[in-house]
Amino acid sequence: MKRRGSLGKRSAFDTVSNVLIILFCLLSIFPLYWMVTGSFKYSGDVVKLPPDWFPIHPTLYNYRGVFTNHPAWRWIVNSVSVTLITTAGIVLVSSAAGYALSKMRFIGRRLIFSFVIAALLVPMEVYVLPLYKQVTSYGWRGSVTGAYLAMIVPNLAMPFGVYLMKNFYDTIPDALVEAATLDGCGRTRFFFEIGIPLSKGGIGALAILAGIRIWNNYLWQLLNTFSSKYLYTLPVGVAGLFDTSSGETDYGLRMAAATVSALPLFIIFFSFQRFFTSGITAGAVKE
Amino acid sequence: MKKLLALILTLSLLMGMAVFARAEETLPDHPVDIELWTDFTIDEAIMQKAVDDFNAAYADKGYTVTLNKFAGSQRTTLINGAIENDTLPALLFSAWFTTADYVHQGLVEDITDLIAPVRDDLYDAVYDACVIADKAYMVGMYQSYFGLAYNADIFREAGLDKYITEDANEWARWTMAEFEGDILPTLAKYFEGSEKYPIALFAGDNQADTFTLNWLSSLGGQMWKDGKSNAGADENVIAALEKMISWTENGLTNSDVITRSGTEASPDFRNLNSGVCSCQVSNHTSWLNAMANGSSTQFDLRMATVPAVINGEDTNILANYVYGACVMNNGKADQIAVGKEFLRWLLQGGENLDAINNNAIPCFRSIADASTDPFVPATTKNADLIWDFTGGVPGYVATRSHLFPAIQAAYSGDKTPAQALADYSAEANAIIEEYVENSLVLH
Amino acid sequence: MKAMTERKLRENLSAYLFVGPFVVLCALFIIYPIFRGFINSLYNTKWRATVYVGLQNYKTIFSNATSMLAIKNSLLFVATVVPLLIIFGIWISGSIFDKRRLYVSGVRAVLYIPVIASMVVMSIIWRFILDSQSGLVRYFCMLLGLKPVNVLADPTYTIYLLIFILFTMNIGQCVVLYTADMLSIPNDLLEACRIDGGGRLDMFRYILIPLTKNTTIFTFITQTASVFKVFIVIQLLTRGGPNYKTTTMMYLLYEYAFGNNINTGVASAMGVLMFVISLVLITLRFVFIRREKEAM
Repeated sequence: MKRRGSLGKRSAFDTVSNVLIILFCLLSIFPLYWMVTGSFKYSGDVVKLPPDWFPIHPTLYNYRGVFTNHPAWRWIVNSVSVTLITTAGIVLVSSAAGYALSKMRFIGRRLIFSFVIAALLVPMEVYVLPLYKQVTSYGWRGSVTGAYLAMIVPNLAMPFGVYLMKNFYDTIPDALVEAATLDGCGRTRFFFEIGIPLSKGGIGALAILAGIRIWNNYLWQLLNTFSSKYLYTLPVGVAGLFDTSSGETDYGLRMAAATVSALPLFIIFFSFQRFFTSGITAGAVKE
Repeated sequence: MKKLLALILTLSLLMGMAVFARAEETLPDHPVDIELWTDFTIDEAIMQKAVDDFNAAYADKGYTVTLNKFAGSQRTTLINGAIENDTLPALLFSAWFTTADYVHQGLVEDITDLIAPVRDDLYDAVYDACVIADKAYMVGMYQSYFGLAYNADIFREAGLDKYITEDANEWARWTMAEFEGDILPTLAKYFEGSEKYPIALFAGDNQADTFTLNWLSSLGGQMWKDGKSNAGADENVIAALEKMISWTENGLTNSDVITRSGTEASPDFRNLNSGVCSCQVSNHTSWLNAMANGSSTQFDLRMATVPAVINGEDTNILANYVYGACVMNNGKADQIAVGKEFLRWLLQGGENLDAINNNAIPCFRSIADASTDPFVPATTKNADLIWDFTGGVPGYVATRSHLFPAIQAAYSGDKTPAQALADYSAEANAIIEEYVENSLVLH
Repeated sequence: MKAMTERKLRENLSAYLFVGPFVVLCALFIIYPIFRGFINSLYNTKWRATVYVGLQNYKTIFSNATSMLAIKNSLLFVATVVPLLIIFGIWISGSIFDKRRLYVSGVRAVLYIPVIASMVVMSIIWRFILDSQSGLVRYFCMLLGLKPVNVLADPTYTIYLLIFILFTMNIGQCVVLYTADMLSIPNDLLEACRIDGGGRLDMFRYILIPLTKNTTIFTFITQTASVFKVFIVIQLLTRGGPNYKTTTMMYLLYEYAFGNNINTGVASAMGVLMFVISLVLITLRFVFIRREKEAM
């Protein structure tokens, strides 16, 4: 409400802008509307022309199908466990490294930071073949433990996370650290007693961004789980349903599966939206 | 005389024992775990039972086989990953044509000796299909003729009754004139104004591109000649591609040929959204099973051959997939030995071999003869229509990655059909040359 | 003096404890595989033997029209999507940030949802809608009395459609960043601009654009990295077609690594090339900043 008073006269440019923006929002959300409504339609009605713009005979049939015809619960458990464990690890590793790069002076600091920037740019797919070979040579394969290790450990080092956390700690004034140090608080203690509590927002943002990335790391998950459909993660399982050699021909069921695979992230996003917006800005704004 | 007989008997007994002992000797005396990978288009339970039975039979030796069944579209990704990684399975059950490239790459074991005891029971065509330079690398498990499926219910509703065979097992043989002059236009009219369409053509990726090859050869053109790609040089192939494009332009097919994948064609057909569809026998079996257990829409599913005009005469053609088992050379001697033992065990016959074979057209004479399914003889009597869709060229699977872009180029107007096919042939021939030159089994 | 060095040493040590886990993991699971990839790019392993071929794999890439097109397309994606994201990110955020709170979070959430829904899901659904046989696109063609148009199969224009779709999938990220940044601009600055009679365009020019420069730099780096490796959208919407007209470097790399005509040496060489090009792209940004500083 605070800003409403400062609105002043609205210019024609501003009005046109906002109308266009609303139209663009509708366009950009439409595919998801189509997916969610499709998930409540029977297969034939999903592709019917002329289309039903909303489910005329809504049904939960497709959702039942996802969970009874396929081990979707296992996929959810796998995706959630892998994502949670990896994200927790990334947050620990990244905030420690980000803090050191921001607030500590040590030999090799610049070198390590330039590595972070360089590594930030290399998509995992570029080195996925050698990495897969390496992980296999550790025996991380086949079993649940093996697949989990392979999906979790190599992802713990996330240059983007370190970059984000370093930027975040940069927003904490050095003076604050100096003052605390003069009070006899070491930089290490400062990290645990002041740094972490202060960076709650940054950690929240990192957790969400890392979580989204890990959750959707499709190719890596496919390579490490294909040996059994009980090892699949949700994206791998759902993408499989879009492949007809899986024997699945039901369009409605596919829409339901896609909805199910997006749902957990929606829930997390809307619960933690607060952290997210404040945290990511703080990380981004300070260069 | 008797002495001689006794001598021969003893000798052969000794030799038999020697052979037996040698076989015994090569088997590892410690527990071995191997993997069996398959993209067989049959029920997973059938494969699982075979694996379970083997594991039970060899429990005392500690041999364990683990089954990994995956979709055909994932095969290349997974096997390439395994090659890179040195994690190839000891056993691969797949279609011969997709396996042949791996043979040239030296990844498949010669199993000629292993097959020898059952050689006479295997159909000659099946055995010969899996031979490169006089050595057999795969033993056929089932055959799957690749032609058309049609929905007889839709045909009846559209007034196409006369094209439906009387016997439900019989494969229809339509002429090209009937097919493009009556069946497709009538279906198009019947479906007008909806998202449904007569027949799916697809060039989105290389899935089920055998179907495209069927049509490209339907005017008598030769896709392969003297171990080389001939498509760009044969005006009948070019004419066939032009015909396919004209069908699409006239609304006789789906409109999204360029982006449609072969794996997306059958769900449309099974959801009653199209009247005719590419289909192989093992699909036919599993679709019928799905209808029987209520997991898919029921309709009157029939098979048809592909109409063709060759040298001005009406005829029909079919492709055939031989699905079989091979032992992969994954560099691990004990795994290879156990893999071979598994095959030897499976080939002794029995319910497992029968079950796998009976899912489509058996590869073994004895199993086919014992089959009571009337669909089997109704199918095999079309054997004379089969053409060799791979031309037996080394690197066939690799050449496929240039076919669908060529079809896309012609369909999108980026190139003329003649130019697109000529470019495809040039690229395919470069690959074939590379394979011939480097093949580890040809020389 | 001695205490000083000892403190320094201790700080160094504790710093290493802090960065240690990251450095070790990064060395093991990122740097080492990249290094292996570089080595692999010098070999041909296709025929069960590892043959040193020097720069042959790179030659294969540069002598092949398709891979040159892929390089061009990847750069085209970066050159179009990244500026679009920055321009529209600033425009959208600058137009909504001083409106009602609910409206701001509404627009932000709506645009951000595609980001969370993931590229896999979004691409699958776009494909479904744009399908010219059973998708909504066909319905609109029917309404207009046109023959169905396969918008995903045009050799010239489809790539621009993909650029637009990729843009809709990433814009949410930018709007979230820019609005948050603009919301933290002191109110008096905006007031001052209004009192001086500045319109919305002046506000953009003198306040919003200069004050969100750090967000722009951050967006530039992260989006260049993510757009340059565009893969899933291509794979799920066009599979690089028609006839490779929409293929990208990452898509070709995947084809060489996992496709039918497997050649890990060429795939690795493509990876090394991508690495080098990304480095060059990002260095451009440092040059840009330095110029600006000199100008000031």
